[in-house]
Amino acid sequence: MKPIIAHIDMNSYFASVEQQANPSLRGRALGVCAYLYEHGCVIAASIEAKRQGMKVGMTLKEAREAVPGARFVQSDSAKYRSVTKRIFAIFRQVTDKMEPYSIDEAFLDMTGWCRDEAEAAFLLTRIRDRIRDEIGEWLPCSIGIAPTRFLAKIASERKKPNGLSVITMDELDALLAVIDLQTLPGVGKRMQRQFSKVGIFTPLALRRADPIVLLRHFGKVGYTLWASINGIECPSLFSSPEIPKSIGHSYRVPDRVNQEGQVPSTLARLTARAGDRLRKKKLVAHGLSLIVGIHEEGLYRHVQKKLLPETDDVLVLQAQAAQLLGLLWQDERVVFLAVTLTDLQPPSGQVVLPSLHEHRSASSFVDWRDVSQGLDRVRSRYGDEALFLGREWAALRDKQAPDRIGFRKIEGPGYDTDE
Amino acid sequence: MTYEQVKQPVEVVVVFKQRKPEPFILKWGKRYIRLRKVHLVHSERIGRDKVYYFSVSDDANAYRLSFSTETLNWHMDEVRVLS
Repeated sequence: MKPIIAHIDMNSYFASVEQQANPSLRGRALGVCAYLYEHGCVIAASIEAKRQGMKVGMTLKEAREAVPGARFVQSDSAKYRSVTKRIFAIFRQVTDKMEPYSIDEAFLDMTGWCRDEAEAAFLLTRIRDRIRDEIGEWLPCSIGIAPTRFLAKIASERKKPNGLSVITMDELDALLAVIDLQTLPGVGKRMQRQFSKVGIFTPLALRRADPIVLLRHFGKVGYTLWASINGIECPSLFSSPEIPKSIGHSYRVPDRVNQEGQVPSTLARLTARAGDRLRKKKLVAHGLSLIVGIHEEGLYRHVQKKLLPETDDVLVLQAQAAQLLGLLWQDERVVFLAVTLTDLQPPSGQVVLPSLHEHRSASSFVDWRDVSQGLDRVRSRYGDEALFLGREWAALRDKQAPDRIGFRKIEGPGYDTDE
Repeated sequence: MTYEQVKQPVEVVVVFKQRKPEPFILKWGKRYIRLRKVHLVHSERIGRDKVYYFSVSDDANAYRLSFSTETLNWHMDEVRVLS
């Protein structure tokens, strides 16, 4: 049976959702920012803003200079997750094999559900109509249809916004001759430079290259790209590992946090957020790393620590993070904080026996893990911010280190997992 | 005022269209507001409560209403002047 894979990409997603919710923002240049202050970063730009030169990744200041009349709103992660859930529910009615790739894109395996690409195109156009009718008229999406996920992603990139593009193996050579190497998923400026060193300047040249040469020069990545561009499905290419390598939270720290002495509290909040996600995934961390950006130096100080024994306990994680902060920071002005939990594994179940020489104080008879689990139970009933540790209070009160939306992070606080 | 966060309790008349609820008339203070369009509906889980948010508008303003399935209360969260 001929494989038919579709890739659906919601265009300028966060900005489109904001324009959908608020009609006065429609047809205007709009930037969605993680935080609405000078160094806050544009995480999505509306189609109109992109046309005028706004780019994702610009700071708010840069974006204002690039598009003087633009409006900016702060991201609302619960809103985007909820809309994604409704969109994906529609996708699931077309095929039993729907693979979310990120918060705004998914692959649909239509093999067996459609006779050919034309029928798939017809079905997917109806999906687009359903998104318009059931969720909102201001949510454009691009559709790509091809025999593999890699080629379907290239196809959906071809016509934006609201396009539909089909790639067949017969027409592949003609297409690859005219597109740029950087159009290929996973190929950036650096990779393009490396390809040019071995005489590969177009995707077509990559397709015709010797895989042995690619393997020698670029390792597994080179071979995977060659296989993908030749229509061979590489299962590992777009799939996320079952156990993530790390879980982290970062925050571009505003001046106010420094002035009011809230750096330790903000770090405690970031650590608690990372710990919450760790426990929701039922994992434990064997390592913890901390990055502190210091304003005066313009540098980032970094330290990491092995956690012995491994833990998912918020109290232990916060204590360890605070200890690392003490090593890196002596009351300077902080501009950036990032906590990352590393070397993640499912809990081994190994009981840790207390050392014979360990001094048993009164507090050591309290099982702090029970306290931590109790906190989680209260939060699961009354909300993530219903109960928290005193050290987080200052940051919580001033809404520091808010929940951030990541493109590959579909779940988060407030995400409803009910079907 | 172009945008204001209000968070005030409101009374809402809802109609069911194609088995889905849509806010129809809003009583905010002493004013009755006939809503013209529902632009977006989204939800958020806050502990065991599930809150539905309705982004709606009349001819002059856009509003964000929230409905708590735990307390069965409606709130007006935001008002924005349409321009």
